[in-house]
Amino acid sequence: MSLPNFQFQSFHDFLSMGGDALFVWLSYGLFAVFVVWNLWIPAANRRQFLRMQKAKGIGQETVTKVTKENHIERA
Amino acid sequence: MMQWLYKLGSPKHFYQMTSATLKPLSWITGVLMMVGVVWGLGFAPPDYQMGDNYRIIYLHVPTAMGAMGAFVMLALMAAMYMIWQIKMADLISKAIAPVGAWLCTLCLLTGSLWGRPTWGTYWIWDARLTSTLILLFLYLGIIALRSAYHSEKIAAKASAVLALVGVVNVFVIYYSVQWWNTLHQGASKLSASNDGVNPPEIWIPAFFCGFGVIGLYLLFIILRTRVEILRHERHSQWVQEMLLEEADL
Repeated sequence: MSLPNFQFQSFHDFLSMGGDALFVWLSYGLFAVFVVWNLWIPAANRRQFLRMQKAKGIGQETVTKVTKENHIERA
Repeated sequence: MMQWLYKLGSPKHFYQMTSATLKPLSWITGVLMMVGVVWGLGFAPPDYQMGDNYRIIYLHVPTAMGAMGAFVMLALMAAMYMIWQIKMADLISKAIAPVGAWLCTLCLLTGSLWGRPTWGTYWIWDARLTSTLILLFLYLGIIALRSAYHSEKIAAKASAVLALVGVVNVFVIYYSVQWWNTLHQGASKLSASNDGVNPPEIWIPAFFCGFGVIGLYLLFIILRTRVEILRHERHSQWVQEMLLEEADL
């Protein structure tokens, strides 16, 4: 098998996708939305979790005694 | 192997083990997806009948397989949770449901966008299309059940039962093109040589996209599961220690 060649005459040709530009690019666009959204959502949830933990005051009410001692030792 | 699986069953170990895998997994997935998409969009030869719109198939088939595969995994996790009460299995299934719903939606939308120029219609109540739509409803039902109960345990059990019952539909989708006379085509035959119906220059990019979507799926599940673990284990010592150190969080 030889190396594949670019199948379109020009960049404009590539964008027009043989007349089905809307269908092809919309499909790939939706896929891009899927990727971006699913990277963003867990990152946002994680930031929200960290903010909430900070607001609650880490090392005050929820931290066990052992954790506190460990922290003091390390500090 | 058993010990490795056992370790994955512990939220702490799952979190620590996935910390190390995230970077290489992202890279591998990114490269696979880039190669597959660029090759499929620009370098694979046009179809002799469909022209260029068949390039949608490079996303349609992987998302379809992903949507079905994700549901099977969801059912496996549900079984593990129901039989052995493994909490980790429930945390993972909580992460799978939305990603599976996304894959199923994409499968339906890309199929629709391919169907319009090829079949002349966006939608038809064909056995495969209808059963795939039911799969989407099952995903949405599982997500809805999660938030329908105040008790997390009851919600987990209810969605697990729906996943176990609903997995039958995956087999219906898979065999629908054989059992019924559908407009949707059956599985494509791939040929190893260039003079067959589907030569390697057509299906090799599809394999890149296929493994790329598997990579994306794993990546999204891991990312979501890690947040679920943090929430679930927020009172435990190891999470609190991490919060204090604010290192690799």
